[in-house]
Amino acid sequence: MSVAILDEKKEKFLQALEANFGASDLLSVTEGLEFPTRRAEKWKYTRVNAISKEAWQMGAGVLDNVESYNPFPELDAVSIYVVNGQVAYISEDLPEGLTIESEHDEEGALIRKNIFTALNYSLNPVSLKIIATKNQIIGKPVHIIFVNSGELTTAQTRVKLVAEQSSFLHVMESFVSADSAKKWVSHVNESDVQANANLTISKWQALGENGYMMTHEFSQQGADATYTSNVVTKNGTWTRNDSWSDLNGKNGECNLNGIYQPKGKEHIDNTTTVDHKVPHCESNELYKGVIYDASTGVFNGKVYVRPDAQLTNAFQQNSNIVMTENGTMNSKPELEIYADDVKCSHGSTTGQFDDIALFYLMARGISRENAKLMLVTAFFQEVLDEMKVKEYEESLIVN
Amino acid sequence: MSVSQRVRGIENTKETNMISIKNLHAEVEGNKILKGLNLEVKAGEVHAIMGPNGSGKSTLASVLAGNEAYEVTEGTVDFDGADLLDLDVDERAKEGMFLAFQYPVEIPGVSNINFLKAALNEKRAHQGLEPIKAKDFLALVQEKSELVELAGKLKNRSVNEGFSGGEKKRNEIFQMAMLDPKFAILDETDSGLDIDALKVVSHGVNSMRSPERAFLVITHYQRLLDYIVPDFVHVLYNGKIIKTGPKELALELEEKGYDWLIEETV
Repeated sequence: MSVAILDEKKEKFLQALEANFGASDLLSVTEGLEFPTRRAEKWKYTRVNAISKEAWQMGAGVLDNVESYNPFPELDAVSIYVVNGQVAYISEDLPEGLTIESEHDEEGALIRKNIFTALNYSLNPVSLKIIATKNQIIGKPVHIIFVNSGELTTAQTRVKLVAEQSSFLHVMESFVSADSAKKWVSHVNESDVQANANLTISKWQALGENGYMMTHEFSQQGADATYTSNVVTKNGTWTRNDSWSDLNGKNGECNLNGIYQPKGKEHIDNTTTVDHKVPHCESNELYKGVIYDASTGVFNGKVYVRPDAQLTNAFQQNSNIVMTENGTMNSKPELEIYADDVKCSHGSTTGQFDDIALFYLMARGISRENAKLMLVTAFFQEVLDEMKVKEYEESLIVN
Repeated sequence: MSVSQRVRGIENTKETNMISIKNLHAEVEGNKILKGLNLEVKAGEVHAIMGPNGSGKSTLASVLAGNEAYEVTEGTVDFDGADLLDLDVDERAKEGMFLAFQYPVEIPGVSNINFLKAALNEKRAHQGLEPIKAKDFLALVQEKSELVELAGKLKNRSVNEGFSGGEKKRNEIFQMAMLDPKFAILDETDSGLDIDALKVVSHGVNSMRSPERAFLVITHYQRLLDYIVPDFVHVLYNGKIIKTGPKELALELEEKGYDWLIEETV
């Protein structure tokens, strides 16, 4: 009975997408993939019905004054604007060694990790592909600004990153809204970090009111490669960030950093999977959140250390401050270790705001508001230091 | 108003109380701690408050500074003409109150210097003054940190983080010197200090004694009062002041303890 209801719901959802996107065959593409329910371990704290109940449509690919939505206009970067999932502008002045192209994905490319990733490939067959050529240090970041607008629109976007051997690349992705209409953004990253390369993806999420945001981040790392993922969830009604990081070559390093500060009734979920498949690799996860009002935060972190992955160093830390009695934080850091000579640790702390520190600052004449800002900034500072993105530091606290 | 009247007005201020506490009752988590405390401190005076453990000494300091963990259930506090209990914690500080904490708080990630600059500038804004110039601020930091022998120890450090007990107490006095309050409460600033640190802290306090400023020195030990010599000594017991005397009272307490006084009261 309940399966039938789910099927009906899924069918209705897919039919609307087929009609609005001119897509066909979504049922067979998503065969065997259902909407996740809270019975699934990785979806225990996050519900998708606000997305699965709607009939989503494609938004217009143009927008006046698109540059005005850039959250970091001062940033010296290679800029790309994507409006409602469609590339609107790519800077022509590219540094040496950097290639930006569109890639039409063959059917086989589809990642069937879940219903949302499968749909992402089916609804938008074109990926944006950014390549740093072998041995090239790309001196300035590539900044992709995803602007979204319109009632019940969905943007299904995909960015593939290739850091060839010994290259260096920093890609920043900013997700913003032009209005407060209900919208759903589903974004995939596929990263190929080749031997001795260094790739960083930094995400700034600010979809605001009625913004429903999903990211699906896949990374494959070669030997001696470093992959860093930074995500700052500034605001947004509902956010789910999923990442799957595979360490496939010796001496690889994977760093995942996150900051979130949900307010009102916002919901933010960071779910990570790091897979140590080979020896001598290191992974570091640092996620910190401040939960305001009646909002909810989720951290679901999983690290696998496979039998061959001896001498692994894996660290996972999630720290939270819950500001009110109505706020909720669900934190579940997990290690699954099958090798015997490893150094792994995980920790999770969730506490209330430090009233004694607040009193101390105020007793020196600092107003309550400023004292709180000071303490929240201090709390996030450790993560900001890891992220090394100056713009985030300056824009995080300012409303 | 004529000149002579104004002059008399200024003289009068000196005669009036810096702080006047009347029938103060306060409790924490339902436990009544202060039970009708009366105290008046005039500008220029140093008052010491002594008393056995649990008598309410630190509660008095916390209540005056505005710690919300304590609830005032009765009484009034006039602070240089303002209704103190009506002011928020930061407003009290901006009006010139300072509390040197018994247990200074470590705040990782908040820079000592930046926080103090923010505090100073908020106070200046409250007084209608421009923010202090960076150069003047640094000169002030240099001067005042030398006073408590902390020079060079504050740069690039978070508030009290990694400080020894003595350094934390000296940092309190340094902050006091920077903020230039008119009424300072020292809450067991001497506890646990070695003799060198005690001398440094006392020197810092003594150099700030002036006819315009008053101090309330809360201590458990008479020794501090050899260095910071008070005008009055009060004995706090069971939430009330049960005895007030000259500085010699502290010596008597050191010698005889509190029991004789408590018996007298009962």
